[in-house]
Amino acid sequence: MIKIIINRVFAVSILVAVVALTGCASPANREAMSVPSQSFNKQYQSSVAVEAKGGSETGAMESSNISNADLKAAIEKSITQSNLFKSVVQGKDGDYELTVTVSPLAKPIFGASFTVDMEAGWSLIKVADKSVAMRQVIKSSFTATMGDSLVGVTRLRLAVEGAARNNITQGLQAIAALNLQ
Amino acid sequence: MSKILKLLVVLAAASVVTTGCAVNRATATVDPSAKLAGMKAIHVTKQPADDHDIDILIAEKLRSRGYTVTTGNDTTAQADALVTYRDKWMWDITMYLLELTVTIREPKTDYPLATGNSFHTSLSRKSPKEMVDEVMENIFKEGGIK
Repeated sequence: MIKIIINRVFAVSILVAVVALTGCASPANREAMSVPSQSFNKQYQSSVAVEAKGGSETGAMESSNISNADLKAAIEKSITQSNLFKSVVQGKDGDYELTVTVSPLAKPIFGASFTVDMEAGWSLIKVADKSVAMRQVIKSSFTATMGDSLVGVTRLRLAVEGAARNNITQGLQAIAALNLQ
Repeated sequence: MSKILKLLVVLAAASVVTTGCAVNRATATVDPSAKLAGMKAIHVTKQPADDHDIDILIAEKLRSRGYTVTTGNDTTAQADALVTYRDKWMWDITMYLLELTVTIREPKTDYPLATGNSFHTSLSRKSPKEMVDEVMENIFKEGGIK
């Protein structure tokens, strides 16, 4: 009888340990979503304010999501590191307003390699006259494999971060292709 | 002890191949430039892999709101807006619609004007019609249409 109880306590302990170690998902990391120092061969002498919409927090029982705050921070850092704009400002004081609206991510639930597809609407408005400088849909994807991580929730987070990083790269490339004043 | 080892192996395997736990969610985002109330003709683009006629349900919902709606595989239809969707199905005793994302787009640029998403796991599953209703009502609500 005592042996059975010990075995059951041991089994529950293992269950708790596995859940605690693997857990549910963590949100996409803003640092990992940022584009590493990269020049887009363009340096605009104007400032920009960034807003991110459509993202969602990662609940304790969900898979990895991208929050608006983290996406905004990742875009701002990417712009700063690339020197694409003279400065990144907060609020409505910028020469341009960049709004990035994310659609819900297409994420797998089960599998070995996880591919995440991301779509975002990139809108760049010139504040002075409210003219639309750019209005473009950017689609990106990223595949994380077992080589990236053996743990499923981590592998999915890596795929989400990669898709966001690729989306930001394409979005900034599109802005760099413009001829802003 | 062998049972415990088996349990450990099963849990470890589950942690390797699964991505997270359960959730119920319903959200919508509408671009400030989207004039949903001013639209008249809307085309619902049928997903090639859709065997459940979700496009028909979306079209019926839009018609009930007074829009003129066409459906089909044609993405170049003349309309004020294009509607695309992504339906994800799951099996638990029976198949059910796990997640539905509907996007209303600008026809010329494909730009997403409004997006709605509903995600319901097995225990709180909804019928496809209920999912469509929920997604579309959230879009209308977010777009300021009663």
